[in-house]
Amino acid sequence: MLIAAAPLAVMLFLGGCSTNAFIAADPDSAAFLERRIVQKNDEVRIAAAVPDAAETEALTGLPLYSQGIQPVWLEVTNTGSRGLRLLIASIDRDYYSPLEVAWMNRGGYSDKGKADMERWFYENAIDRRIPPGETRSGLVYTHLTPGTKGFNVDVVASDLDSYSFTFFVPIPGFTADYMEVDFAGLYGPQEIETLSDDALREKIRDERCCATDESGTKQGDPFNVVIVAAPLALRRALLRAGWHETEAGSAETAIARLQRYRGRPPDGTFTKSRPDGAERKELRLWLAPATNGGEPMWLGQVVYNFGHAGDDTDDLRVDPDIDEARDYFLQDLWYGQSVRQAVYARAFDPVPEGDPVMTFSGSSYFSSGHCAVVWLSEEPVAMDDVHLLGWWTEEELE
Amino acid sequence: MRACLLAIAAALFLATGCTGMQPAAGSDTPRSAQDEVPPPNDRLFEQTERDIRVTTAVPSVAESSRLFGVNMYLSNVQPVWIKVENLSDTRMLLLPVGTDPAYYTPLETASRLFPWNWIIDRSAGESFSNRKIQFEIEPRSVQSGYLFTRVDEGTKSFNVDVYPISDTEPYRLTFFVPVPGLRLDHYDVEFESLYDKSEIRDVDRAGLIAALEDLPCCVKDRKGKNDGDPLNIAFVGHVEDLYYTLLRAGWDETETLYGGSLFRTGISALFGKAYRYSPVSPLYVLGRAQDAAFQRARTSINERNHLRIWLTPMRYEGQPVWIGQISRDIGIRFTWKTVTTHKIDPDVDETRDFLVEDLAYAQGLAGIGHVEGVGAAAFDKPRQNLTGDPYILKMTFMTSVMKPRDG
Repeated sequence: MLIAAAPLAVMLFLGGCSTNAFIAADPDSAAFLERRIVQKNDEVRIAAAVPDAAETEALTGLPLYSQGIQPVWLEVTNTGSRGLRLLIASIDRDYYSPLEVAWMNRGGYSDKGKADMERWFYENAIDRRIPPGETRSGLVYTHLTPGTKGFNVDVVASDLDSYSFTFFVPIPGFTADYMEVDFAGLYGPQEIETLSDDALREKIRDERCCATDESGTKQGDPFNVVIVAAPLALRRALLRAGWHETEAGSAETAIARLQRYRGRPPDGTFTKSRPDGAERKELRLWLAPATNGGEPMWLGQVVYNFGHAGDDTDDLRVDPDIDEARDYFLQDLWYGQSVRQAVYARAFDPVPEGDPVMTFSGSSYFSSGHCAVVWLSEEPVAMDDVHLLGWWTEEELE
Repeated sequence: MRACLLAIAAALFLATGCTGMQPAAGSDTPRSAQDEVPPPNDRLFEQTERDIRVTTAVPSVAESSRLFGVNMYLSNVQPVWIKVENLSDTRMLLLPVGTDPAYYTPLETASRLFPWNWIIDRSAGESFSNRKIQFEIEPRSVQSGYLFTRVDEGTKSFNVDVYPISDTEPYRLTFFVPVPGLRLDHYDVEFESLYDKSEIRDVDRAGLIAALEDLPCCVKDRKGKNDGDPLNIAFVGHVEDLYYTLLRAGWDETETLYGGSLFRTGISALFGKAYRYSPVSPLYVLGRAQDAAFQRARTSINERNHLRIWLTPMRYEGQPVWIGQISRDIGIRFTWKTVTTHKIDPDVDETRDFLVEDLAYAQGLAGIGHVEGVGAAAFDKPRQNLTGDPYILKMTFMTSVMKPRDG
C-alpha cells in the first residue's frame, strides 16, 4: 500500500509546484569562455570550453552535473572554401540531444517555463553544417567525466576529407593526483639511466617485482606493465581510451596509495569503470629513473577491482589473475590507437594459480611473471601498424 | 569417486599451466586436441581466411545454464565459444577487446554470478577459468574455449580479431550468430518475396530523388488515415550491408510484440532498467507495417532511438532502396490513446543526423545526400504525430548509401 502511494505522492508533488520560470544565461557572454582552448588548421578553427558544475547551473539554470550531464561549448569556424560538417557523435557517441535534456528537466516549471526552456536548449544547440567563411557555436550535452575533459572533435568536408582534433579541457576546482607531483624534482640528473632496448629488458628483469608497504618491508602488488612515453602522450592515450583521472587525496584510491615504489605512493592513478557495472580497472603509475629512446619509463600496476562485498569497505575484491588486467590494458590502448610498439617481457618468477602470493593489503595474485611493455605514440597509430615484438624471453637475455 | 577426484586434479593442473599469455620458450606445450573445450551446441559458424580457421557458437540462456550451472544472462554475461586454428608458422594473438571492448575476465564473471562466496567457493571461479580461451595461439595449433561478453539477444554480432606476431596483415572476421529465444521482426519478413519482379524498377539519381520527394510525408496508423512520425531517412544498400552496419553501430533488432515482451517492457519502463529489445508498435507505410525495426538503447528504456524501415520496389545502381523513420525517445508520457507511450525528441532532424554519424563511425557509409521530402516545420509551428507528440523539422530526407562490406 505504501509502495503504491509513493508514486502518487510524487506526482502530486510535481503537479503541485509547476510554477517556476526558466532562467538561463546567454552562453556568448559566459565567464567560462575565457578558458576556451583553440585549435586550428588551414581549413577550420575550433574553440572549446567546458563549464564546471556551478557554471553549468548558472548557464542553464539546471543542476546538470548532478544528473551526469556535462555541457561542452564549441565554436567552429570554417576558414576554407568547402562546406564542413561537424560530427557531434565524435565528442560523445551517446550524447544527450538538447531537447532531451529539456524534457528530463521539465518538472516543476510553469507552461511558459517549459516552453522557454525548450526554446533555450533548441536555440543554443550547435549547428552541424558550417558553410565556408562562417562560424557556428553552441552547446553539446555529454556524459560527465571526472577531471580534465578529454574529447575528440571530428569535422568532415563535403568530399569526405576529415579532420580530427583532440581536446583536453581542465575543469577548475579539480586537482588530479599527478598534478601535485613535482616530476622534475623526483630524480637528480645523474640518477636517470639512458637505456638501450637490451638494457631496458635487463632493467625490467632486475627491477624489484613489486611495490612495498610504507615501511618498505612487506610486499605489495607487482608491476605488470611498463610504459615508455612522454608524459603528454601517456595522458592522451589514457584519456582517449576512457581512463579517468583521480582527484588528489580521493578516498577512491586510498588503497592504491598504500603501495610504495622508492618510498613514494603512485605518481598518478587512473580508473576505468565497466559500462554495465561497478567493476573497475585501476592503473597506478610511477616514473622510473630511466629513459628509452629519449622517452621516460613508467612502472605500472593494473589491477581489476570487482567492488566491495556488501558494506564492508575493507573487503575490496581484486582479481587475482593480474595477467588478465595486464592483457586488457595493452589491448585497450592498442584499440585506442595509441600504441607504437609492444612486447611481453620477463619481470619476475611465475606465481602459479594454485599457490598465489598474498600482499600486505590483503589481496592475492598469480601471474606468468611477464609484464607488458608498451611504447606510446603522440600521433594515432592505425591498429595494423603496431609493431608487435612478441616475447622477450630469458634465453634471449643470457 | 576416485575417478572424479582425479578429474578435478587434472583440471586444476591444466588451469595452472595455461594462465595468461605464456612465453614461447620453456616447457609450455600447445594444448593438444584432447584439451579442446567442446562447443556448446551444433549451431557452428565457421570462417577460413588465409592462415586461420575460426569457428564460433553462442549458447542460449538454457544451454549456458546447463553448461555453467547458473543463468549468466541475468547478470549480463553471455559466453561465446571460439575456436581458432592457426595454420601458419607464426605465433598469433587473439584480441578479445575486438569481440567485446568490455569483455569479462573469468574470475570477474564468477564474482558477478556468485557475489557472496566467490572466494570461499573457488570451484565457481575455476569452472570459468578452465573453459576460457587462451589468447596466445602457437604455430600450427588450436585454441578453443569461451570468452565472456555482454549479452546480445537475437543476432549476436561480433568480431574475432587475431594478430600474427609478424608483419603479416591481421585477421578481422565478423560473425552474425542467431541466438534462440527471441522472435525478431526480420525473420517474419521475406524480403525476396515482398515485390513481384514486374514491380521492381531501376531508378537513376534523378529518378531516386523524384521518387523520394513524392513519398508520403509520414507513417500512418493502421487505417491509413492519420499521419504519424515523418519519414526522414532512406538507405541504399543490400540487406546484409544494412544489417551489418546497424549491428556494428550497436543497434539491436526489436522483438515482435507479444505478451511476454510487453511485460518485460513494462518492467523496464517502471524501473528504468534497460530491456534492449523491447518491442515497437507497428506503423504503416506502403500499406504495411515496418519490415524491420531497430533500436539503440543508452542506459534506460526512457532514452532509446527507434528506427523503422521499409523496403521499396526501387533499385539504385542495382541495390535496394529503403525508406525509414527514426525518432529518439526521451521519456515516457501518459496518453488517453495508448495509456503510456514514448515521448519523442521533437527535433527529428537532430535524431536523424545522429543516426548518420553513428553509421559513419561504424565504417558503414559510402556517402550521404539530402532530398527535399515533407515540408519543413518550424520550431514555433510543430506538427503532431499519431499520439499527439509535436515534432519539428528543418530539413527533410537524407539518403545514406551503405558501403558494401568488401568494398
